[in-house]
Amino acid sequence: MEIKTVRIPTGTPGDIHAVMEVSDGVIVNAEVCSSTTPLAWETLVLEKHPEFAIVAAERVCAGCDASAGLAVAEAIENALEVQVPDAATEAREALNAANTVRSHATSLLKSDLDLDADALYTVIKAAKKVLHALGRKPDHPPAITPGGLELETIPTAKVENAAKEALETAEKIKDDTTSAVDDLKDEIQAEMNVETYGEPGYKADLTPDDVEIVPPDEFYRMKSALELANNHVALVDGNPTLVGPQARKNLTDHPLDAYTAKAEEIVESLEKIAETAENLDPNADVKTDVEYTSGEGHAAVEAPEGTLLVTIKLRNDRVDEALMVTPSNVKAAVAGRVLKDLEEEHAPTVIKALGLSGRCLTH
Amino acid sequence: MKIAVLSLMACGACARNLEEACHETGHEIVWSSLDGDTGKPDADVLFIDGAVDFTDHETLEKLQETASAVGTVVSLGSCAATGGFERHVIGMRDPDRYHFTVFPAAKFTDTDYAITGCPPTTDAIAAFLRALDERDEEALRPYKVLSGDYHALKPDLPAPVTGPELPVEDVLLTSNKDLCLGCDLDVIEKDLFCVGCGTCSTACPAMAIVMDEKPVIRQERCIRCGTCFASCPRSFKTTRG
Amino acid sequence: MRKILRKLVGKEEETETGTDGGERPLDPELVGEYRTVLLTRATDERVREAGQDGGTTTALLAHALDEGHVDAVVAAVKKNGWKPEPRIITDPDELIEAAGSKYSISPNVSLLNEALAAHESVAIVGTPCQITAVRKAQKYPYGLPDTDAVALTVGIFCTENFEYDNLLALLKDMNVDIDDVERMDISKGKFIVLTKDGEEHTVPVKELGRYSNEACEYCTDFTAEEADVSVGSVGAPDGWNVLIVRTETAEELVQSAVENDVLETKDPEEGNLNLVEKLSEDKKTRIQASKCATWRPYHPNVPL
Repeated sequence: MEIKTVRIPTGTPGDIHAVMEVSDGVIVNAEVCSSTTPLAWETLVLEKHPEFAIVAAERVCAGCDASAGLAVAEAIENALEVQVPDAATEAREALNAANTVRSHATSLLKSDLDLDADALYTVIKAAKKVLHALGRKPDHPPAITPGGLELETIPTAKVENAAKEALETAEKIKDDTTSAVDDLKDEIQAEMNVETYGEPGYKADLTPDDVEIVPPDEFYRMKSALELANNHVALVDGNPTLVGPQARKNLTDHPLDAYTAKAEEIVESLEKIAETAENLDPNADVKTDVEYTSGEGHAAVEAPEGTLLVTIKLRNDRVDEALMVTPSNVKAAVAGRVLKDLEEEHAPTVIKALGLSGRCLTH
Repeated sequence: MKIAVLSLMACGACARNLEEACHETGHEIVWSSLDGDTGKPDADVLFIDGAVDFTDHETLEKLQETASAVGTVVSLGSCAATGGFERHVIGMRDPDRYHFTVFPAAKFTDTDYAITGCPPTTDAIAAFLRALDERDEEALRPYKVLSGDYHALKPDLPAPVTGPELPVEDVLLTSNKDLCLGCDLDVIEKDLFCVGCGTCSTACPAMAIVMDEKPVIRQERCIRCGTCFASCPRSFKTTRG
Repeated sequence: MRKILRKLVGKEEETETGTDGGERPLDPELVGEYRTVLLTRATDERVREAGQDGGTTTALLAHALDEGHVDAVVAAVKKNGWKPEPRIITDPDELIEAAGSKYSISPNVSLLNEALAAHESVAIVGTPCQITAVRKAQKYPYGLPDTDAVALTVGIFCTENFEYDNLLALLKDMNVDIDDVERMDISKGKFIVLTKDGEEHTVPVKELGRYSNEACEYCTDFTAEEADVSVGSVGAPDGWNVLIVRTETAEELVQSAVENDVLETKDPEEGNLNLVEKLSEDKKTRIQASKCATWRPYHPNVPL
């Protein structure tokens, strides 16, 4: 039996390592960690204006991007007891859905499934159009602000058309992904006996009381060949828990079902965007004034890779304290369980499917 | 033209847009650290995504090894070009360390071009790739000047005044070298060169610039990416495309 | 540069100076490349009244919206007290609010991202520097996605612009209160203010230097050489515009506007196009004496 530390390429920024106890090519015990230099979001926002916390959160990782910004904005609003206009909430939901489409399609491009890149980029372009229209830029959308969205009017027609035009391609991607995943599942024996958390939709009702942050497991802290392992893991209701598309769609038979779940969510998200745009009044109020007093608040959204929780404490127009629990923090706790009894050679494929990012894990 | 991508301390948006641009222009990414490739790439152009933490020896070595193997090295995005957002961050791994250890790639290796942006749009990267393909030296010049150690540039004296846009080198002489209006609004010598067109404001990836005839920086949002400076019509010349 | 190229290619040209070949009404060396020059005005009297001279810009853009060439126009509208601000206009009837010359800075390009985000096809009207900025953004779109959705740029002739406070100072020195201003005009070398009581106050353009935006001194582009189409009144008879059509896109639009009786035209002979060349030339030479040109590159804080 040997212990190995293997860097796993995930297609996402930062470094993910699997520390594994392997016997006869089968993983007996494993943990996942990251050596990525932390962005230190929680530290860098201290004493800064709350708006900066949003701008910075989007730059933790391009995967969740806008969703992180939304979670921070909503935590600030909860801290200040600000009611955003209904139209803003709906537009934000569509924005989050567009971000989900973009993130999932990128993930499918980077998977081992060999899917049609043209189709995926068609869907990505549509998502970027929506991100640009509702968020004012297709990457790190800056229109997200405490109080709502910084938009003069809502380009509902453009958003609706963009989403609808991409639907057919998205359906095809779903079919291709499902069959590609089924083929690959035959080659990889794996099981997932894990708790799950998450429902389809935008907001999640995860609170700080539900979450416990623990230092990395003794196992790899002692055995790791890494000088530094920077991540913490988060337990939900005391358990290692799976979040993300698989959990939301309840497709947890096999790790590779993550891709099927993502493909399904792409279709659902586009439908949601079209439906929202159809029902929104382009001239509706999407922003309310915010007075920066003091307060504490939290918010959780369903980011592409899973539930993302932010708590924030404000002292007038400065951030006093901030905490972010990311999908990777939560999923890292459960990764070991998914790797257990897996053939060593399949570890990279399975970890990649799990949707971890080194940046996310260490943020 | 074979492309290699090395992703360092980055959020991944630049690399993602590069992948999309390559898909559009038909360039093949033959090597990518994001996909696990290591060692020396067999490629013509290397794009460096993200900044470098100089205390991370492993990454520094990786950077130098990778960059030395490829003929043309490009700093992709503001984090790679000037340090950008990553440098703006206080990178704290040890609780008692509290200083900047993050720098743009050009500090540690020779770079040929730099593309500003947070992230640069897919269109911007595609335009750069086409200019590189066509060896359009004039179109490539701003990327060239903004790369590497532009602090050492000297003005071309006595060059005749030929037009309203300054050669990049001349404007650089005014700045505090971070090349962003957020750090130093006088990078464009607001009184001497700013015409109040509003381009900086509309290009800003963080919506950190509002126009009151001239730009006003909202410091609570500025991420020091320098997109404003690069987009300003007076930061460098361009001939009609 | 073009003359050198022609010589290399071995083409014969009749003349070396002035309007090249004697056939073209304006010298491209001075006013930039173009396809045709026209004298135009809006057929709709309402538009002409709201406009500065011929109302051509407003009529042309309204036509572009009407025909669906673009679905949004970024233009400057006048707010209270003559302070302009940029606006995205989608209703052609609303364009009338953007008619008329403005005499202080309106950062039109600041709305370009929003226009591109919300619409499929955009037109932008602006001063030569703003048009140049858009062209640069199309070539180096660092922070601006979808710049190929800018379907039309309309440039306005411009000698210099003013910061609003300086405009107020200028008017004050002319003993005019901005609220009494009925109309402002720059014509025949004079800045002319018509007050509501019918009085005319003038100042020679030469004396405007101390009020104008310093950065404008560094500009050499009078006719917006990089626009699809440029519009001005210099060189046109009263109540008419000079229209410099530069690209195929613009040509098609202008032809459509004429065919649809949105614009009417006059023989360019009836204008005095030499004035356009003269002002262009002035602008190309005045840069040499500008503070910016003499400043560079000796910045006091930087050791050389």
